Amino acid sequence: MSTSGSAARSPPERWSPLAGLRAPVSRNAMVVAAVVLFGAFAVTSNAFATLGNVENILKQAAAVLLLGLGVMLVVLVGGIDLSVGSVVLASATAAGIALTEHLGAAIAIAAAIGVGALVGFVNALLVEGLSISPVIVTLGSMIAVRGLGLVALGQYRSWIDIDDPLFNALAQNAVLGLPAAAALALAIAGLCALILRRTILGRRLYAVGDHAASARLCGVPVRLLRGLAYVACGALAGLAGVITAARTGVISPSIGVGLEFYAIAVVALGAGGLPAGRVQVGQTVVGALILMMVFNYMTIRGIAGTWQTTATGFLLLGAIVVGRLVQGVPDDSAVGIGLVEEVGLGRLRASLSRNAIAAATILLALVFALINPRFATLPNAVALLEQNAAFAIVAVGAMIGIVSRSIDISSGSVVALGAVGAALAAKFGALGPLALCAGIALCLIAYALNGILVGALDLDPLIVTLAAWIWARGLAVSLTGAQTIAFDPSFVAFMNTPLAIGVTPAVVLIGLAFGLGWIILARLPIGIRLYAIGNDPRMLRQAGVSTSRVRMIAFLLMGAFTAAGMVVMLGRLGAAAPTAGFGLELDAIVAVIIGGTSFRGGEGRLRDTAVGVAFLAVLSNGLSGLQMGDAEFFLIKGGAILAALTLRSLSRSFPARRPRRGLSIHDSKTKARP
Amino acid sequence: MLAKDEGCAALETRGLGKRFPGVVALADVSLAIKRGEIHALVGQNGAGKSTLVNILSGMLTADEGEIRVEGHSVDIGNPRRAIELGIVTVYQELSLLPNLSVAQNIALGREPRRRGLLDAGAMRAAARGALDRIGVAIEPDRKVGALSLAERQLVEVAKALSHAPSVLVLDEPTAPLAAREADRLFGVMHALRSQDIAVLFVSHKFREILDHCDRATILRNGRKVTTTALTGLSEADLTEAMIGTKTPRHVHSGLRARGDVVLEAAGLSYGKVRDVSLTFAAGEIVALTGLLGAGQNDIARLLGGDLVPEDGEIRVRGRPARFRSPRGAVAAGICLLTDDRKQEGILPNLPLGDNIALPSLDRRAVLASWIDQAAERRAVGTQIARFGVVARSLSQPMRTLSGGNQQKALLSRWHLDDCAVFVLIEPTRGVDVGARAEIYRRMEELAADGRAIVIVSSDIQEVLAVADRILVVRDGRIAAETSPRARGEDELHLMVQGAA
Repeated sequence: MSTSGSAARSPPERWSPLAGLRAPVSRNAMVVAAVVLFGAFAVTSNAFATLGNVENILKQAAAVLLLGLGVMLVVLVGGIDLSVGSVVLASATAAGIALTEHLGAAIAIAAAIGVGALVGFVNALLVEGLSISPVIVTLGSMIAVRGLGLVALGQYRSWIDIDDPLFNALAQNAVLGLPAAAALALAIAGLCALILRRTILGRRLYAVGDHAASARLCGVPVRLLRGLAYVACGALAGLAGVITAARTGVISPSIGVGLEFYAIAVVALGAGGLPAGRVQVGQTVVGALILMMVFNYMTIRGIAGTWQTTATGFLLLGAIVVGRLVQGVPDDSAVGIGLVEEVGLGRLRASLSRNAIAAATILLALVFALINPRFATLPNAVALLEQNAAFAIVAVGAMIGIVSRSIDISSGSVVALGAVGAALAAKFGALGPLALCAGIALCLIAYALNGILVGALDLDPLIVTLAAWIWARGLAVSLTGAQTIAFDPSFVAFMNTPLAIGVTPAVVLIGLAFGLGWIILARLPIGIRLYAIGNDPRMLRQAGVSTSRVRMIAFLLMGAFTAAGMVVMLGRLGAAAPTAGFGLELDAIVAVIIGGTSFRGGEGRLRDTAVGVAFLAVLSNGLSGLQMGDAEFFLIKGGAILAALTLRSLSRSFPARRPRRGLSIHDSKTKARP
Repeated sequence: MLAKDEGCAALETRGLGKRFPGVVALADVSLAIKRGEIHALVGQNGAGKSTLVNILSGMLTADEGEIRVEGHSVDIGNPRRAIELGIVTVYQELSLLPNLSVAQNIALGREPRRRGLLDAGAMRAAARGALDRIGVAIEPDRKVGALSLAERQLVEVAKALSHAPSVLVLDEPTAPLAAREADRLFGVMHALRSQDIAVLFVSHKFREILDHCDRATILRNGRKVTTTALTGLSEADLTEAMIGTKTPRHVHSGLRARGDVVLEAAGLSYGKVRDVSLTFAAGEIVALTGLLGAGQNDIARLLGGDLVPEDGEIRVRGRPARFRSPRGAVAAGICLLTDDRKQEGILPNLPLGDNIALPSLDRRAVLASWIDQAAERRAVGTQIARFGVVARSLSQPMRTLSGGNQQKALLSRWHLDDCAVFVLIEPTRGVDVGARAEIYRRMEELAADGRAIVIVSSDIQEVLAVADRILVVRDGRIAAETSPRARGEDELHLMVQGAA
């Protein structure tokens, strides 16, 4: 009909109390923040504003800036890349190997960039070619590429010294008064800015990010350009690997861990969110500088390095909340969800592909049983369940999140935070159950915060839980001073005492979690609403249900499952390690997706998630039974995840379907097509 | 629910008004719907029907005026409040969730519970009851996604009735229905009338209105023309009342010279569209017109490369062309402007200048990729002046322009790209009268300049005012070809309806 029709269709104006301040403040908010921070730090610390220290800040910023630029390009076209940290490891290793084998610095650098670009290319193929969500794809490649890097590094006893004149120069020399690495990073930032502002390519990238459907009708090759962004991001991450290798002078397995989150944080800090089609190079530069200034200041003031992570998380949270309030960034769809074209599986194909994963699980188990006589034994079966208890329980929460389009990547960190909270409470004299309650409460509080930000402020769940991923982990590390704290032995004994035929309470908890999850999703009114909100929030609103309330409930439920996972993990480990639960959130999400639940939300069954959990559990138990190292484990697991996703996606497009409408960026539902 | 006061209308509006940037969608509309009445709402596209429906259902808020339910002044504000007041709307775009079952959809937001748990039995029974009430046998456990469009429409009606409405608003409910299914719906409407429920029925199909409605309110350009009893009226009477005489009326500029054939389609098929063959020549304006959903939009999208035909061939200047995406069509000099300007036309946050320059960037590039910004500003500036786009500056974000200016900017975008064929779907939808006349003039200029213009329009008056040839589309086929001089408005309207 007339404009009235389209006005009614588009989401209502988002709430924005500071609308009047928008124009002048929002444009330069982060530059102002950076200057204010610099001033405040300089006044409160004599050492801060010295030439040497500024140089230090710039040096530290170089690698993060390059990664941020890469991620910015991907965010610009509406995607996300979580694999850049692993690319840093793989690229640095490639460069190190080239140097060790005396191939020369030029080849080493080319190899590093090439490895990065190759990873980007594979990401692009899977995301754009097969239309799989970029969050899932780059999670998979994050694991697989780390494994690849570790395997390669393992050939050199996991330790490569870098000693090359060019690399040393990159680390130590100065260009125009700037440290060489920083000068290089800034030069590349300038080049990116120039390309984005002044070339056809840049203009088209912005067009794709701003509105892909319109850009497509203007003859812009949308998929190609989005793919290109992933390749460029990979290449820049490869270069960041070179700089990291040069700066540290040694390549060890811990390189690049968690860097992807800092890279995203840098982009979000500068832009106040991850708005496709609107991020700018300048913002990313400012974001990187702010983050590094804060780190540097903390170091100078003698605050333990462990607090840096916490600070990053809260800074990120602050930036997106301020960005939301001041700019009212109207993002219509969540990052990484909006651009995925997913054709619904038919009933037959859905069951086929579900059975495919179930069959793969059984096949996998058979293979392991053949190779390893100890695999198919009752003790191992119980061990398998116990090892994966926390993972399985958290996966039920992840299922609730994905069904309701409220993706959560903070569960691993919150598990650690909760465990640390419980252990500290016990250390300060709280009784076992009471300490446990404190930990559970901490988990619920973290999720309540997530829920309020997503539900009431309408922020993108991916960014909010990314911030929580960072701050919760940071808090866990800083509260313990990076030490492991023992927990009440009687509780540990209880959790590890079999109730019957080797079944410990942890195993019972798995059953409870799935039972409860089933009741929530299938037997409670809220279940219908969770599916409905994942399906199309507008329709739920039309039916008179508050969507923010449903989202908050979804997050509280996820919090409860995460808390249960924390209890199980605490009981298994007998102590709270600040590194506990690392990667748990990724495993949980991957299990849900492999099981067959659509990342778009609104569909999927819990029993499919159970199949996905079984697949991953058998895989990791079987591999560990083979005395496999971390490296191979990562590699095989990441590869298996990507393969499973590809399989799913191919089975989706295999039978001939009607000529497609090119790519559909929007839900077909939202289009009023007469 | 408010206390009933006999003698009052079930629903009444007084002086309702609503504006959108650049358009007055509704002005001073007063109407009253009585209990036990089927009241038709009639008007052309853009007359304000949807705006009115959206205000009544709480999706939009009126800028001025008053709404009364059972004689009490009410403030609707949101969909939930509308339902509480007894005003239940069946939207033209269905509001069912495809992944949920029929029963879940009907119960959404007020699921029956027993001891806290979902009472699946009661939910199923309620759904079955609601479906029985309109005589439909659909299994409540079926997923809505697996239902046909007609079945979904009926489920939607059942869902609306399960809210026990005192006013039921049906927005083009018969569009997806076959004659028999539509008859069933009319049976339901008559039953509701006998239960003293007021029904507001929006439709383009005059036969249905005359056969089943008691009174009709006719809207034109956002204003009420009249409310009239329908007994004794004919389709021609309604047509006349609906079309009226527009001011300022655009007069056809006369015969243009028809140049070489630039675009041909032979045997195109896609979905509903079956075996459509067309020819377009340089310098002519051809209109495709038909009822909602007759297939004219898909034909235009096939020509513009947005849809890939299942069968048939497209030839550009005699040479076969296979477009796999709009990119191929753009390269061949064919541009497509769809009716959904917001979702498929503008780049909302980018500046006006970038919006206009995007498709033709290659033409001004230095060294393959570098943009000559000065040349770009000049070129864009020329287009803006030529097409009369009113904007503060070239850097104004596109979304802040009015609908008419956005549309002119989109036309200028393709003129800058030197397109040979303009395929325009409803080019004046949501555009005010002044901008509309200007867009007609630009189209005529483009045609005089040797471009072929294909417009899809359901506005009969517009079709007659600008087209050199008129193709009437019915049920996915070209049903007739005619020229504006051969037909009057009423006659063409009847052709479109399939009544002549």
